[in-house]
Amino acid sequence: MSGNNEMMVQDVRLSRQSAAEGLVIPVDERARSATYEDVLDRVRKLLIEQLHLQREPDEVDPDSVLFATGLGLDSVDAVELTVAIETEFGVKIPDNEQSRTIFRTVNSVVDHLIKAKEEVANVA
Amino acid sequence: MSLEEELKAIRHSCALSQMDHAVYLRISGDGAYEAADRIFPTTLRLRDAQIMLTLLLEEDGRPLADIQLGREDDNFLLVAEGRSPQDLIEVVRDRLPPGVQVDIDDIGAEHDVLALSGPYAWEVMSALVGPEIVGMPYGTIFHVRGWTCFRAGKTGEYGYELFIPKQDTAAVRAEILELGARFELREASLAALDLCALENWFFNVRREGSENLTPLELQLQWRISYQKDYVGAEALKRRRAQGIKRRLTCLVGDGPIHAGMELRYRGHAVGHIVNAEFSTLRQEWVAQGLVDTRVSRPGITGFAAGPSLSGPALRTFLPPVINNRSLYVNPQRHSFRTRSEVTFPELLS
Repeated sequence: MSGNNEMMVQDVRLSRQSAAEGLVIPVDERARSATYEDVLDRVRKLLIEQLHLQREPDEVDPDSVLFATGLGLDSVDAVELTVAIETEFGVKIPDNEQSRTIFRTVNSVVDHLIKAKEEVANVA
Repeated sequence: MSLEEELKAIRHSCALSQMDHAVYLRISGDGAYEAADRIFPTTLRLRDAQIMLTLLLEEDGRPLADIQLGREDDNFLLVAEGRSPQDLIEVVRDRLPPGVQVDIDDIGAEHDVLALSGPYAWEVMSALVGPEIVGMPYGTIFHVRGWTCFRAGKTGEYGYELFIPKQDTAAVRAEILELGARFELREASLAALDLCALENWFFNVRREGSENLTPLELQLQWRISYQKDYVGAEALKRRRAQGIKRRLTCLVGDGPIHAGMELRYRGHAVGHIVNAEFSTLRQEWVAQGLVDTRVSRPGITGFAAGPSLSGPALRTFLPPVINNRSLYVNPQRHSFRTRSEVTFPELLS
């Protein structure tokens, strides 16, 4: 692959990016995104530390699949991950079929944690 | 048969597909492990009879082929999409470490691959080859009736890929169709498989893989390592150091949507559509967009596709967009015959 082609890739990306320079994100959306980024960051670090993934946090893509051929977690990892999440976030992971959807991807774990926190806040 | 019927079979019962779009190679010989470790960008932790997903990359880090890599003793089986057998053999030969000798065989020249996909594919397989296959975990290789079989697939459902000698393909196909009748098995095309892959967030090298994107934008970093040397490694390290501004993101909403459409968020251009199809199951459009990372998290509304604000409305979505029945069908407790006696969770998430 030539350097020219790589430059072309960059140019296309830059030209498309420039149109979004004036992007204004509403305040409430920015707040939700900040919460999301915070939880995502903590989940990434927890995955790496608890499951000994040989990865840096930025290498764990948000929509990475957790099990089987994705990040390669197995059923033992699932148990450890459940305990670690419940301890770190104070959020219960249900021991039923719902946990299968919660543990599909990094983002699905994050989504569950944010919703669980919101539910607690609403009740309070 | 309509695409909708094919999809219904994949999502509710079982479908049979002939995988002529893929390439099948075997790398064997004393240097096979060393060769595979050098050629593929992943950390090669692969036990016997295990399969992993990886890629082959161009020098600039773009995917050249989508690879399922299986290990059999000291040999490696490749199921590849994105290149012809001749191209792929040439790429593998070019990337062999100096002095390493291996044999590279085009298994696809002598075999057809038949795939079974669906929440009851395990039951059709059990009827075909015996109940011992039922417990095979996803991502493994096994052998039955003299065939090599992959427990694999990109539909999010139970999946099996059978390597059948070409002279036997017609007979085996007929046998599966006859056995499958009681499971409402249908034949499914590549178009149906591609839509299922999109709904389940599986990488498709013929769609998003044909964009000028690297594994960083494609969210495929789990398929690569930054700790080893391979073709494309330096480009990926540079891209990572720069940081990405856009990321492949799942979107759902109104249509029609097609690849290449500009994507706007509250009037600002924030990316473009790279893959989109109408999901008959969801009754809405499912798309992958290359989206500004500031607005790429799931659950954001206010996107429009096309040059104007009146274009189809979209929202970012947590993939997969299907709550696959296979997550809940347990071969120890369920069967196709008694499926109506069980209340499964809704298919839509």
